[in-house]
Amino acid sequence: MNKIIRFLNPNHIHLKAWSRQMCKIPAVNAVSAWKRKFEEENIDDSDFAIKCIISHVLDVDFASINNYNNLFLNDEQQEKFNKLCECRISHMPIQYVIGNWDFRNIRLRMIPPVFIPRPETEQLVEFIAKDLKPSESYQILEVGCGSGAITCSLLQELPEASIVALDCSRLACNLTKFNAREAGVDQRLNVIYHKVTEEQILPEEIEKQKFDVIVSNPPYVKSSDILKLAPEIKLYEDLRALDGGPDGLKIVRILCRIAETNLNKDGKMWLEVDSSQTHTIRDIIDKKFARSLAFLKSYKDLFGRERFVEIARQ
Amino acid sequence: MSVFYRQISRLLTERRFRYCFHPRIHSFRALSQTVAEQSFSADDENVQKYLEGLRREFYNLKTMGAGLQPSDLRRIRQLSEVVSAFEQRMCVLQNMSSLKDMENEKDADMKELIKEEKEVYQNLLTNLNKGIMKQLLGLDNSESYSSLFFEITAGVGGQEAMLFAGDLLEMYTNYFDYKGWNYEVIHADSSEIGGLRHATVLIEDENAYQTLVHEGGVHRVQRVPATEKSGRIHTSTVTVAIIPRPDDVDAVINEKDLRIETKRASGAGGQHVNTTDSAVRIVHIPTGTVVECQTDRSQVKNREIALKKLQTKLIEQKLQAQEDSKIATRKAQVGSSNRNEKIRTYNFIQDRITDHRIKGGTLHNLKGFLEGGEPLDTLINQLVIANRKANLLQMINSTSGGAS
Repeated sequence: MNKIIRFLNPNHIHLKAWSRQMCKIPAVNAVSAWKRKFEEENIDDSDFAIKCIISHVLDVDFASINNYNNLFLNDEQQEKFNKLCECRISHMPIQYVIGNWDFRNIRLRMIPPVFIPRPETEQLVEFIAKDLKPSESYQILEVGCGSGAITCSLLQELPEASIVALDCSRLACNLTKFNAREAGVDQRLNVIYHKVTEEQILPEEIEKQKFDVIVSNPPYVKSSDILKLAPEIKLYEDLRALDGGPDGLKIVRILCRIAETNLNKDGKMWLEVDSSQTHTIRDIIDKKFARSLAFLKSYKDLFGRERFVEIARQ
Repeated sequence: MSVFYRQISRLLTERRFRYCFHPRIHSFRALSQTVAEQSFSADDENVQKYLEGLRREFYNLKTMGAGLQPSDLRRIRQLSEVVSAFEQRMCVLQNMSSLKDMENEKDADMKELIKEEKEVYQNLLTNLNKGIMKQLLGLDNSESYSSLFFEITAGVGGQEAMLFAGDLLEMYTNYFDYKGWNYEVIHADSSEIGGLRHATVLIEDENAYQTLVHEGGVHRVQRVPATEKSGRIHTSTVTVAIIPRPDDVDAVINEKDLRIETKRASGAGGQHVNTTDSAVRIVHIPTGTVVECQTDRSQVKNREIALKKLQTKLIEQKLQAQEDSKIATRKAQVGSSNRNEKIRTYNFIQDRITDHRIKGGTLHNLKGFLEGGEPLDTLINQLVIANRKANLLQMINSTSGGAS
């Protein structure tokens, strides 16, 4: 009884602290048990993953967690924590485990198996946004929008631009629409479910449309490398977003044809590719598209690898 | 004559009016009394010489014309009030002496009038003198910086010192909020039990340096630490450093000079991997400076933060080099306290704070003080004023020394 009275006195113990004390179990205990298991199973980035899960379960900002000393889990949170750790230990990528991830200024919903945007791609958007003026109403085409990371960021950073986004997965199309709605940019977005092939390059409704910018993070992993990828990727992610054919450039070649026919004069195409491919792409353009396209420049990513190419329509 | 009187009295009321609403008036009042006690007034011959020097400086600057620097303009603004008060004072003195010439007047009415006028002037003079002294104390000779680094480091006392360093950081960040300053905690290295090893805060405000400069030094805490089981009182220390950041010091970082180490940096990157550990470590090759950041979930953001940290570190290094040559002059100018001696004690057992540099520097209600609001502000203002007074005395004495 005394205890209850003490708890109810707001000057004595903060209400939050009170609920923490009632609900028991310090986060440290839960964390250290799972950390051991993760290490036994050779789970990558175990410390980081646990911190992500804790911040998700407790709904506190990741950056605000320095250590687990003053954090407590109640029954419900414990259950959730254990469940999510189980997912991670089965090699599910952390982004799917917690169901969201940050991309530039936007928090995106993540649903398996829609491809998870990589940090490099944030830089692709940065390069494009720097190259364009926020005040102009650009027409942009994104091929392979996945979760909508590039599309949503570009729409957010270029408030007058509008985008047509294509993807060959219905789930990806829906996720892009969802994320665009969440970011409040869906008014300027048209998502079309379409598979880009040699035979039917673009969907009929935009075949004749001209764009100022084409952007894509096309599949660029060589088919022979797919099986060498980590289980997180090959078991959980949509391989259509990764598999770029025998030399990884199957879609890049098609993208060059789209640039040739659907880019305005002086319009640009921006691509994220593998660091080994930039020279080959330059060769392809110089040999097959010399009249219409020009390879302007390649850029390094934040880890120092050639990652992005800038191509212009002449 | 009465027109003149009206003008002066209007000026004075305006001036008084302004002081009433001056945020520092309360602490000022206490201090101007002590100044009076020390017979340190505008009547003093040395003060007169010093004021005359200021007046000359003011007009020299005013007649300079095109070659004025922003710092000169600031100085003109600073001096204009005290110089105009000084000139009014000269006017009043002149009028008083011309009244003296009329002392032989026989007419009774006239005599009465003269007496009245004399009283009025005497009042004016007293008020002007007071005003001038306040102005002089408010005059700011310290350097001004648009931004500064505020550093807290746990000193002697292990975990307990770190805990108190955490308390102090909270107090000061509250204080920065209270003052409405723009600041950013650039780096905070916390200990296992929730204390703080070291923190760097970047403050961007014109007034921050002058206000905080006297907070630099050793802060001592005496209490029974949370970590202590047998109830003994510990004495620990925390050091605070105020490092100004002159506008012209900047560090240009060349991408080529950086080695960026992350888990993601090895292997193919891009679509091939989904390593998420976002910790970033950056080595600045020319100087060997290393920074790390794992604050954010995003690698891109961590990299930005790390680069900012690196820039801060490089600037600090540059400043340190400058500092060595500047330190002597700055000490003379602002009388900065020796960092090796304690400047303030926080005694939890007696619920008191004692600042060792000023008389009557003992306050109570530690909890309220640690909230970083008005009590801290009042103490800081006292320190600023006490320091200015010391500087002023020193300067006035050196002026008179130079003249004689």
